[in-house]
Amino acid sequence: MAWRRGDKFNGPHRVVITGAGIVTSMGHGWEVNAGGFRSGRVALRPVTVFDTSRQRVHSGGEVVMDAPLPETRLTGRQLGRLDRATTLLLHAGMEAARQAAWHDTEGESIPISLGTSAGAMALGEKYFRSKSCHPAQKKALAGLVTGYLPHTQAQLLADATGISGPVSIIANACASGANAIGHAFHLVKWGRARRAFCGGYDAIAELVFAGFDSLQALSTTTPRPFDATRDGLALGEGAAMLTLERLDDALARGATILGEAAGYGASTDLHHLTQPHPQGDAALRSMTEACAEAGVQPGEIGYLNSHGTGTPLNDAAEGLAIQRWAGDAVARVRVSSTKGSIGHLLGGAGAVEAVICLMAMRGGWLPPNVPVAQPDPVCTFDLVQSPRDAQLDCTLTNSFGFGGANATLVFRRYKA
Amino acid sequence: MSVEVDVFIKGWGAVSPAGWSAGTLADVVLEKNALPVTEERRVDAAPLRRFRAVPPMSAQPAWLRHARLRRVSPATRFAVSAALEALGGMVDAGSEPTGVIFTTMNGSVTFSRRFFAEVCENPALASPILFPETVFNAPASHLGAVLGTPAANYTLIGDSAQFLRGLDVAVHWLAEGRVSQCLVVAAEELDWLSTEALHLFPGDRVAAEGAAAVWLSCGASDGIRIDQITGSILMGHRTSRAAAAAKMRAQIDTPPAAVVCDSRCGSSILDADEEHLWPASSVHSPARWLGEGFGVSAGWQTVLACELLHRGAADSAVISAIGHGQQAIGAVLAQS
Repeated sequence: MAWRRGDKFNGPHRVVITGAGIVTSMGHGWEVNAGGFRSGRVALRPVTVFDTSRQRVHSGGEVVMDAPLPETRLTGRQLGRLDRATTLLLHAGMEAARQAAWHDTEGESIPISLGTSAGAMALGEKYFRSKSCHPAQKKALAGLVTGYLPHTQAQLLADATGISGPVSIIANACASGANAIGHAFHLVKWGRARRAFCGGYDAIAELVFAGFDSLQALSTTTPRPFDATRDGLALGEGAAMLTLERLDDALARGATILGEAAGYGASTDLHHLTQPHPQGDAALRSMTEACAEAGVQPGEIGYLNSHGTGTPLNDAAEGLAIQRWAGDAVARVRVSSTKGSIGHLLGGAGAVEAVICLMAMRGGWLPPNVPVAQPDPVCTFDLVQSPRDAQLDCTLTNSFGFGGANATLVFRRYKA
Repeated sequence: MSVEVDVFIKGWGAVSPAGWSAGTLADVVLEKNALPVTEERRVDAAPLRRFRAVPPMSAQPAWLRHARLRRVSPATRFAVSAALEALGGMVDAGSEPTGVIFTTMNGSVTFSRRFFAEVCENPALASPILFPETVFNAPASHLGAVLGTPAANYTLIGDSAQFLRGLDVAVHWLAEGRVSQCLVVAAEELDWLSTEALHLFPGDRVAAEGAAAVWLSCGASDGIRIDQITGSILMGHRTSRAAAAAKMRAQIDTPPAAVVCDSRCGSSILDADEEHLWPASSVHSPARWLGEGFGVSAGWQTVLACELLHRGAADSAVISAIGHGQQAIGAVLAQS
């Protein structure tokens, strides 16, 4: 966004969501995902995108790519070069753009804010293998290098949707998607843009899969966040995109308002590169900051979509953070992790879980935390273990990543 | 609420093939003496790699003893060094909430390449020590830990112009009051994987490594002021690099007698898009003398601009960053 000395940051403006797109191992699109999360369906399956025979773990939230890409503005040449991660991103982006019905984007600079942890890592892996096996090879490698760069995926999204402007690719590990939405929210809130296109994506990639396995963070049984006997996470893949705009603009054009972006908090856990502070200090900070911005108390949060990876350390620290944040209201706070259903989507997780919060508010239900046999003692909050209906006015989602990147988003049902 | 902010650069730092300071970077660029180029092949059949590495440190600084820095990648060491130079050696960020914005293109590529080689060999033996260091935000995380700042910390991935996008985000954070000071840092490290990739593209560029950092605040009343950051003009299927460069140029309010720090690298093919933008005689192009810094390139341009203003070479400086595939973006700095 252009800025000159003397320019005024004006705001705050109320910011609403008018389009959402999602693809996960549940399937493609809002309807199928809403149905799946509402019922607590588990959509984990054998990983087929690479050979897992030498890995300890063989399953994850792999997306079945059985839906054709919606009609885009991409050329045949561009379509022919799409990798898996970009394809997921485009599915979500096209759905969000269609729902928003922004028909007047030509010539307008609309910020694109994306979160990813690995981008098109599979292309990077292919490039490495080619270079290792055939050091003199040149043919086709430039395309792999270009395609691997995350800004190429953003450019393809812009070309596909016709929504184009300055690109921010936030790579804050597993908090990336939430950071990207929070960043876009603040751009619109403070008048630096009238609208923004934001979200997160990641595809299952061998390097990352082997990396989590090397840390013994992957479940060798069934991922079960907040269960006392949990033994790790499942990796997943997917994408979610949102269109954000000023409330007054959305009202003026008669747009359907899916919810209001109300608060965003971001903090850094200094404890360790991969382990959270045992008491959840940074998580507490990001939740507190987001709720302060939204002007809500913990007791007003109708549903909290936790980061809840299913690793022993994460869930314990997040649970304690929730206890400290909610105080006396903790027993009333309804919490679930949806990672038992679709796995951990890394850079896509924060965005997908933001959309799940919107779905829950729109549909009036709580997504169950599956499967849990014996809740961890840290769960002094109301852990949602089975499908439940609920009238929700305010939801919160947590995303925590390697490097101590912590982010929290708060959404509110739109009320005039 | 309507907020008008003045944003100042309170300090800057760099690591480059010229050495471990902003001063050595500026000296090399101003002397217009290209540093020696190392040429190597990793195996006989591989292409010749041409690069300029950061020279070894003359002595080990105290900050390298920090527990978080024991096994970090070169990019992290470069980033911390440049950041601490920008902060004037102040390791403790104190009670002021200090934001960190880190920009890069390749991240910790040496560890990523090593880790994936181990995965290909035998995933069961792939090192759990290497993997966490492969994530893009590892350098930013280590920097935050060294400084002890729990405030917001972003890693932004982008092309060689990305450092100016980092400045833009920092201005936004300061104006919002989200942080009271902010570090913008870029870093890159050399590896055959990225250097051979560079040689797949036209321009016969020399790869380089290092870091750049600026320390921003909106409370100061002296120092170097940021007067303008242009929009980031996205290149792509519908906007050529030349068109993006021209759009960026049209947005710049060029002050009289400003020095220009541009992104030309000495390649007639790549420089053509920028050559005609700045006819003024006082144009400095760090990439010509240091090499292609990937995600740190615009950072070096920014640090050079700060040095030039500090040394009294001009009252204002234009930074023109034409990336190699993503964006064109510019900025104007002034001595306050």
